[in-house]
Amino acid sequence: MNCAEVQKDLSDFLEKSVDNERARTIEDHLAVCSLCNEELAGLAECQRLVSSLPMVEPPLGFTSRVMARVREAEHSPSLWERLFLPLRIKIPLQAAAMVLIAVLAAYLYQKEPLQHEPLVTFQYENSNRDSNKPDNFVPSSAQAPTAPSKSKELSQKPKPRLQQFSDSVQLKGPESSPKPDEQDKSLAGVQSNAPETTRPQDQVRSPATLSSTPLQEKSSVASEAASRRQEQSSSSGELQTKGALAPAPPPERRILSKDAASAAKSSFYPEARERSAAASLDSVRPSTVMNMAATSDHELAIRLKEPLRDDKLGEVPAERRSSISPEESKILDQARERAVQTGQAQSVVVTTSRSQYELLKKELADLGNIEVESSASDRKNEAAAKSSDQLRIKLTILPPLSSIPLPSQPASR
Amino acid sequence: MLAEGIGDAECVRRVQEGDTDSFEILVRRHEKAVFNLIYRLLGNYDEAAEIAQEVFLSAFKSIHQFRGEANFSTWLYRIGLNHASTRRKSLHSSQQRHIPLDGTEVIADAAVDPVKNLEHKEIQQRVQQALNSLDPEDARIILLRDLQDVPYEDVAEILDIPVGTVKSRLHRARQALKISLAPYFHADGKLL
Repeated sequence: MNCAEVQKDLSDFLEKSVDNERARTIEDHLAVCSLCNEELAGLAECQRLVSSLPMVEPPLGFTSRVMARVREAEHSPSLWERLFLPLRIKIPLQAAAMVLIAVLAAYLYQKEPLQHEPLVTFQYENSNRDSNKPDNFVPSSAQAPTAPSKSKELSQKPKPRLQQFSDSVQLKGPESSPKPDEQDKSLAGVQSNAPETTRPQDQVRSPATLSSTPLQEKSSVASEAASRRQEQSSSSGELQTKGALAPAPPPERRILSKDAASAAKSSFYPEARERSAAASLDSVRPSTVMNMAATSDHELAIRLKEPLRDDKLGEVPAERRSSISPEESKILDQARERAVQTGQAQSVVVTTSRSQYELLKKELADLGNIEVESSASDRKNEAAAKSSDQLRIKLTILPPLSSIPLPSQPASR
Repeated sequence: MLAEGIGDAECVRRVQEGDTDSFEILVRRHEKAVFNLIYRLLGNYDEAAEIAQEVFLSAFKSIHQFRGEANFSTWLYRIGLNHASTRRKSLHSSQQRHIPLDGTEVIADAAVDPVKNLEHKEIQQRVQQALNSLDPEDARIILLRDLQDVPYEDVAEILDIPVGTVKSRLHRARQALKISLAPYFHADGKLL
């Protein structure tokens, strides 16, 4: 056994933790090796020196200070304990909160599709009209619980939402349409009594109306120009595209437009033009929105760009539109030209595949800005819509702002 | 009235059941050993007092994790060494470590011979300096085994290493300490 092997075990030998045979071998080596003897003496001295270090007393009051801190810590629960203890209380509370959140989320999720139904429009109560009370004009979805009408129906309990919808559809039928005389009467009432800045539809808004486009909110102010253009277009003829033209606004819209005229009367010139532009968009909305569910899957409203001097820029040749057929593209161009010439909104219905929809939008963006995009597919129609790859899209082409005639003050005012 | 006669395991069980007073028994029973272990590792009396308080406080806060599979003292030493090692590193990095020369050392026979008393104190300071200069792992294992006389098995459990590793590491640590103290050794191996 050499010195290295012996010195490796010297510490164990010192501790007497080696077996007897090993201990005898080490002792035999130490008897003849002074180097290993010195090593053993040094290790033994180190061990003795460390073990002879005196035990130092802790400072006075050490225990009491420790216990004071212990008792302080005992009464202040840790962050973990504050969050999760006692579990018998926190777990049921947190579980109940989770269930409540889940139920609320499910309720909101089920309620959400109704807000996107295309029944958001303003309805005029023809049967209960009081020409002196413009408050009769209320959002259809909010009229039952809130409208201050004299009608018995309105004084009854609020109807279910679907029933309100069916009622609103019935009100749009020919039997409920106001006669021209009544329109004039109500117009007079609106003009004389309705304040210019405060409108009933601004005061009473249902959640459904909140999902409508911002331009709808301008409708009551600026729809006179639209109604005037609609009257003009009825005499000049409308563009026929697959039987889907923008119908003339219903009588109630014209009544509303008169109201808007009173507001536009006192406005400045740029503001009046802007309101007229909004009206041109809004004039097509009631009919298109109501018909869209039955005739088209999407609705797009495009505000044409301002024509340049040569009126060439922004025009897209028919053969360059790959998302729709050449015939439809031609009809679209005709509608665009008519919108520019007449300053009136034109509507066409085109058919394209679902995969070409985004391409169609890009191509339409060359014509102008897409100001309104809405989908009529609700849950019921969704399955049927998915089965077919074709989309029927109602395009409403709005004239450039410069093409819209300014609202003129009626002669009677 | 504190029942000083009960064992560590029973005290721990009582503390776990909410009897905070039983923890005081454990503090009184182990404070000296814990304090000296930390003091020798840090070489600073005030630092040792502060760290020892933290050790007992940590032990109280986590006493619900103590399952009684080892001795309470072993568990307490492990906490103490962790705290002291962390503190030692920060002291070492800020170079604030120093050896107390304020007479805190207790010499048993100091009154017998003042000269011997002075020699003993000087020797203890040299040993403490040597311990301070050691690698923390070496210092810990020497203090556990040679100062606290902790059995090999418990040292292995405290340091979380096998017993064989404890032996080899202890030998290496003693050799390092011997080298550190070599300038003060006589030829016969005794300290000057």
